[in-house]
Amino acid sequence: MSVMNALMLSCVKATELIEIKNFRPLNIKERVQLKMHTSLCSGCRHYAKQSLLISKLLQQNFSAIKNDINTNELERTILSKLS
Amino acid sequence: MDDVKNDISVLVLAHTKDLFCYALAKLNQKELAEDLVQDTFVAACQSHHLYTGKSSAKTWLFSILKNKIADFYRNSFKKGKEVSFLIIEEYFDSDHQWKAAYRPLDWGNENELLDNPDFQKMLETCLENLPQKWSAAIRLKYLEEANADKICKELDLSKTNFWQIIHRARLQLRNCLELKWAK
Repeated sequence: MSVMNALMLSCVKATELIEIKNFRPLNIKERVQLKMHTSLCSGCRHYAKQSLLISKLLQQNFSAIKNDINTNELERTILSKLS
Repeated sequence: MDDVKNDISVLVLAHTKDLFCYALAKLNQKELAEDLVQDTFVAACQSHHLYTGKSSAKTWLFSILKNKIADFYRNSFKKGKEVSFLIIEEYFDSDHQWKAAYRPLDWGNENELLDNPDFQKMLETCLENLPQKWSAAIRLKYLEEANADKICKELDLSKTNFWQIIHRARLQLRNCLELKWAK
């Protein structure tokens, strides 16, 4: 039982590891702990997928807006500022 | 000097749109994005002699712009009010398991959400709704794939404190999206 307790994460700790994973690879112990936790906890399983989605979105430049943008006026302003 | 001006003018016409779109995506404020793109070209003009031609002019301009955006968020983080850390108590019970009301729901197909412009807008809104310190910390991470060590150093934070901020900020960001989107 004490082995189980040592391996079993709380949801607080599990979500923290999920976020840390965005910055550095987890070590083996952390990976096993997280895997065990998410196999039993649907909330953290959803959290992990959603965290990945949010990270991907933050990483990409939102391309949807690019087509509607006109920078002619900004270009003129910059050129006059530089001359 | 006139040569420099001519060169820079060509660059203004060629790259303003790309720079502005990038700045807008990272800042989500039109006027601020315009200001920082302007500042980028002013700085480029002043430091023209430092441009070695090793990278493309576009890469060089982007590196100036990214620095300016990072500076903005570093300042924004430093000026932001301290935030109390009660998020954990709010979302989790005394055993540190999810409270029923906050347990993440299934959002369906994540890949579809990735390409959904409305969902992207919602993410921007939720990011804006975070305390200034928290949104600045998250933004900094995604500026240039900065690692935690670098960000901690720039913000003068301990690693532990940084993880606490990121963890709580992301918990709140996710919860905001779930409330606005999935429920």
